[in-house]
Amino acid sequence: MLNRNLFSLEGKNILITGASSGIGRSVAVESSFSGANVFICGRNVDKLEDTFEKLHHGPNQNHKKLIFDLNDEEILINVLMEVDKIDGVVLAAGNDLILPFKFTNNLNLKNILDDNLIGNVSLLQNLTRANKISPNSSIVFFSSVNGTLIGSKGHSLYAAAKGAINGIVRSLANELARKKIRVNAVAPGLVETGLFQINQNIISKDEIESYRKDYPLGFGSPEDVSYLTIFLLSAASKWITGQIITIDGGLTIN
Amino acid sequence: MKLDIFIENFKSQFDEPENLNLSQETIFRELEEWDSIVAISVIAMVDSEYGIKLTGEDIKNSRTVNDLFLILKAKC
Repeated sequence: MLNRNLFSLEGKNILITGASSGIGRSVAVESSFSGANVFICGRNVDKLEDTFEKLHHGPNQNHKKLIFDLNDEEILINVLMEVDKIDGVVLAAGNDLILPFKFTNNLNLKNILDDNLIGNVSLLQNLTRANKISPNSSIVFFSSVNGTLIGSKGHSLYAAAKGAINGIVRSLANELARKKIRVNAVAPGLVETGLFQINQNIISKDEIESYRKDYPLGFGSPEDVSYLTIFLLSAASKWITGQIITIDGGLTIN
Repeated sequence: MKLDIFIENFKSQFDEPENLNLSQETIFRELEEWDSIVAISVIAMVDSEYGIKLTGEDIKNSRTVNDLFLILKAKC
């Protein structure tokens, strides 16, 4: 029978970076429940194993764990040799940095670019070069409201990395459109993840509560962001490309 | 570790330190110029000047500049 559920990921191979925690983990889990075979990538064996256990393991699903450091290109190439054709890529690996500009240095800049931009782009370069991405695929980057619509204090280098992602999304969408491969970015506001917990050690709880007031729908959960990502991976979004899609509980309407 | 130097370092995290009247007894959170970026700057300054990691809770638990100085001394 013809599958009329365009929102389903059934039969699709989806590769996800940063799958060992936070939004990446949630995208992996929700994609598996939407029927996808997921290839989860991460550096941390134990955390990746935790993600793997949370996946939905249906009779036709064959998930894989790919353990490597995105910034080690040599290993990355070897790992990708083992990967089948891919129908979706989610580049969720990333890191945050809150530091006033005057305290930042070139090493901070290099690290934030490595973690958010360079590792993910390098993976994508190798996937496209090896012709691993099928026609009609969808590529989803992770941007942020920072560097897209707002610029929070202390986020200058992070916003620079996310701004660079927005640039690559638009140009790459144009290049890959010939093969009907779509490229978009999700730009979330504040999502309560492990990174958020780390930031709580820097900013006091009172301050966080006052930020919460700026969000008409409150802070987001990783699942809130995953549902948009799944839509972008599915055939239901087949006319959307080159877009930076904000998902922020209403933060930027104020 | 000297209190007067710490006060100077603390002061220099504000945009216009020359207009700021700050002593060890100042309740820094009540200063009009105090905000989250100054708080993060203080944490970053303490890390780079003293090699000590302060947290947001340390700042929250301090009332005066001297309170923060005492937390700093306890951590070194």
